[in-house]
Parts: sequence; structure tokens; C-alpha cells
Amino acid sequence: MLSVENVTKNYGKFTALEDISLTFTPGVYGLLAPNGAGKTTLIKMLTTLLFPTKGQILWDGEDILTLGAEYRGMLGYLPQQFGYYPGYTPRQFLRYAAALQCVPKKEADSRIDYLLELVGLSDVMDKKLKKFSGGMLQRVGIAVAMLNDPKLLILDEPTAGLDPRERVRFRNLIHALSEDRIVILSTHIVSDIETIAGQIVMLKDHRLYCCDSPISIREKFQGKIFEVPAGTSMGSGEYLLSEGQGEAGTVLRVFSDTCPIGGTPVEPGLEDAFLAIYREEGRP
Amino acid sequence: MDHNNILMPTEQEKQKTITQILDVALPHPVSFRKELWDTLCIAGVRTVFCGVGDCLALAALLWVLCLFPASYLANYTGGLAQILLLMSPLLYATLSLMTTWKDFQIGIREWTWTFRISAQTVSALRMLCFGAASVLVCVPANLLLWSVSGYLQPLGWMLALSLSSLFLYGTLSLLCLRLRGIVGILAAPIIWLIIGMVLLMCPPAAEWLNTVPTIVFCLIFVGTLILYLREMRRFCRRYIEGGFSYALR
Repeated sequence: MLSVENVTKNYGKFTALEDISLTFTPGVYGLLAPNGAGKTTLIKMLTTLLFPTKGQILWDGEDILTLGAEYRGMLGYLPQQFGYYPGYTPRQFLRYAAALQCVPKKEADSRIDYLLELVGLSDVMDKKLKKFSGGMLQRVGIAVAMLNDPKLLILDEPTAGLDPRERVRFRNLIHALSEDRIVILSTHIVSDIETIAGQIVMLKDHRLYCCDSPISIREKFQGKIFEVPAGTSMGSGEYLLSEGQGEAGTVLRVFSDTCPIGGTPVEPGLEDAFLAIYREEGRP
Repeated sequence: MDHNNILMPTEQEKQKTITQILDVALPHPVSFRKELWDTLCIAGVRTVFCGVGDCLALAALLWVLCLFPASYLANYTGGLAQILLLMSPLLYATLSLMTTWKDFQIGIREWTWTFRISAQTVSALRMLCFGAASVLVCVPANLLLWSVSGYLQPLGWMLALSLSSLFLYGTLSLLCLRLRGIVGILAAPIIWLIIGMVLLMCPPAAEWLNTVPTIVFCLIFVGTLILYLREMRRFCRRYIEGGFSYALR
């Protein structure tokens, strides 16, 4: 079990995260927040790349910084920008990572074969990485993160740069890998985690906003999301969330406590909830 | 079972059991040398230098190319001491800088901090190998400069100066690594260049360097070597934020 206890992270005078407390048990967690909300800072603290200014992060009751190598040996991490040696093949690169993760050579070779098969790269395992597409590289990154059969798998913006087909493939892969381990996925793409995350962690104003299931988050907005015809002006207390195509042409999705004039109540999606929660952020 | 007559362990048995439990539960301190050796055995030399073969080749080439102007300066300007001081840590500095730069440039540096074998230990192993390589090449380089300078100074004096210079730089670079980010990486070569330039442009300082006896350089060499190893141990065992470059961005 991974516990984040009253963690605050300051960069000089700037507070990136304030008083975050979370508990992770096996399952898929989606870390959802707009850019700059502190997702990557939290991820970097969970991977021991950054240290909390206040509070502590515990793995089964022990501080992860004290555990050091033991903790890192249980960790699989795919960073936002996955670096690689372009002249290496996936097999060579995975062998390198396996050596750094202290996986015995014989065990590593069979695990590499299995993982490359799992991520659909077994046909190109001896092709140089410089010839790979973004999606293929991301799959190599996932294979690297899975090399030590981690108890904690952390993926930072794993679907950035992937085409829709690769994103679906990635989601299926995470489903397959999520048994008996904690998977933490950081993203600002709602659809990526709506289907696979059991719990969604949301950050707002550098603090924890909620840690709840997608259904519960959606339910909070039941009866508050409406569709109005395009061109309808927003009244007070009404917030435009998005535009979409309805049966009668373009429609606007609106967040409001009461039904707007000409509005039709609709089933809220996680994206509606996300847009409603962060409606004030990023506006001039 | 007779509850009034339970067999209790003797004091000796109790002490033995406590010792056994403590022996299993308490971590055994591992010496720095053993830690490095174990890491090298597990990871292998290939892993330590993975992906940086081109940097090693380039640094070696640069060092060989720098021998020509160094020989010229030692022969025609008589600045043998300054040349030795500047030249001795060159291979070590270029190897360290190039490998670090490559890891940064391809975006692999931060990621390697999350593995069981710490990036600090890998860096330390690399630095030790670079140090050993620099000591080895120091001998032929000194022989070359000794011959082109017309055997002006004793070879022992030159070697002692070279080795002190090398480990002084090594210690300085490790001390500078206490500074965060790119500043910590670039500080040592910049300081070294400034010192070298001052010596090249200031004849009294250079003359003074020529008068320093061999024994002093030998003492500096031994002292800096001890400091270098101690600072390296501190570097490996210190908690360093590997993701600080992200925070700076």
C-alpha cells in the first residue's frame, strides 16, 4: 500500500502541491488535472525524483526515501518524455534497463521476449529505435516499466502523441497489466482514463480536489449538465463547457444548477465533470 | 499442560535469541568499496557505459588532438608546468562532461534515477573508470612532454604535478556537484579554465609553480586522492533530487 501523507512541495516561494493525502491500493488510478496543476510534481515525488518539502510518502508504512533501492526495485516508471538510445534495438535497450533494475540475465531475456510480445513489438525487436514511431516508442517505454514486474506502475502522460488506435491498444494493455498492482496514470485526456481507472484523483489549486470513482464524480453533476441550441447566450450561473453535434445540429453543453431556457438535461460524462470542476482555470 | 510450571528460557538463551533477532533485523553496514564492486558485478561494465561509446571515443580523440598544441607550448614557450596543470584533467573532464551531456540530451538521465541501481552509483563507477584511464594516459603524455621540453624538469616532478592536478580537479568537480542542476556540472571546468588562463598569462605565478618541490605535489596528490574518494562516497550516499531539472524548467 502506498500512502501520501500531508505532502507539500515548494519550489522556492512557489507551492506546487499543498497538503496532499492519498492512499493507493492495487488498482488503476487516474491522476487528472489541467496542465500545471501539479500532476508531474506528484508523480516525481512518488518516483523519488523529487522530495516532499513537508509530509512523507510511505510504502507499507516505510518512507520511500529510506527504502531507497528496495522501493525503486518495486517501481516501474514511464516518464512523460521517454528518452532512449536511438542506435539501440528494443531488445538491447530492455537488457540495459533490466541490468539497472538488477533482473538476472536469464530471467531478463525471457521476460523481455514476453513483454515485447505483450506490447506487440516482437516482430521489430531487432530493429533500431530511431526507426520507431512515437506509439512504438511509447510501447517500448511500457515494456521497460514492466521489466521488473513492478508492484507500483507509474505512467506520466502515457498516451500523449498516440493515434486513436494506439490509445485503444494502450488502454487494453493497462487493463491486462493492472491485476495485483497499483497503476497510476497521469493525464489531462479524460477519455483515456474514463474507461480504465477505478479511482480518479483530481487536483485543483495545487490541492487534492477528490479521489473518487468515475461514476461518483459523474453523479455529483447529475441534473446539472444541459444541452442548449448553438447561439444561446449564457445566463448568470451558467457555464459553457463544450460544443457538440446533436440531432438538430450544433449544441452547447452547459453547466448550471438550474435548467437554462430551452435546455435539455443530459447524462453527465466525466469530461463534463472535468470541465465543470476546472471551469474557472485557464480563463483570462 | 501445567500452567504453574511453564519452562522459561535461561538468561543465556534469551540473550542468544535477542542477538539472532537483531542480527537478522538490523541492516549491516556495507563499505563503499564493496557497494561499488557489487554494483559493477551485477550490472557489468557494458551497462555502466551503455550508450556512451561515442562520447568515450570523442573525448579520447580530443585529448590526443590537444597533445599537439600542448607539446608546442611546452617546447617553445617553456610553460611546461602550466600545460601539465591544464592538460592532466582534460580527459577526465571531457569524458565526464560528454557522458553527462549525452544523458541529458537524449532525455535519459532523469529516468535512470528511478532504477534499483542508483544513477549516482553508476556515475561514481564511471568517474572512477575515467580517473583510472586518466592516470594511465598521464604516463605517456608526461613522457612526450618531457622529451619535447628537452628534459627540462625531472619526470617524477612532472608526474607528481599531473596527478595532483588530476585529483584536485576530480575533487573540485565532485564538490561542485553539490550545486544543483547545470551549474554543478559546469562549475568545475570553468573554474579550472580560469585558473589555467591566469597561470598562462601571469609569468610570476608560473615561475612559482616551477619552484614547488616534488614532495609537495606528492602530498597534494595523496591528499586530493583521499578527498576525492571521500567526496565520491558522500556523492553516492547523499539524497539528491533527480527531477530537479524539471522543477527548474
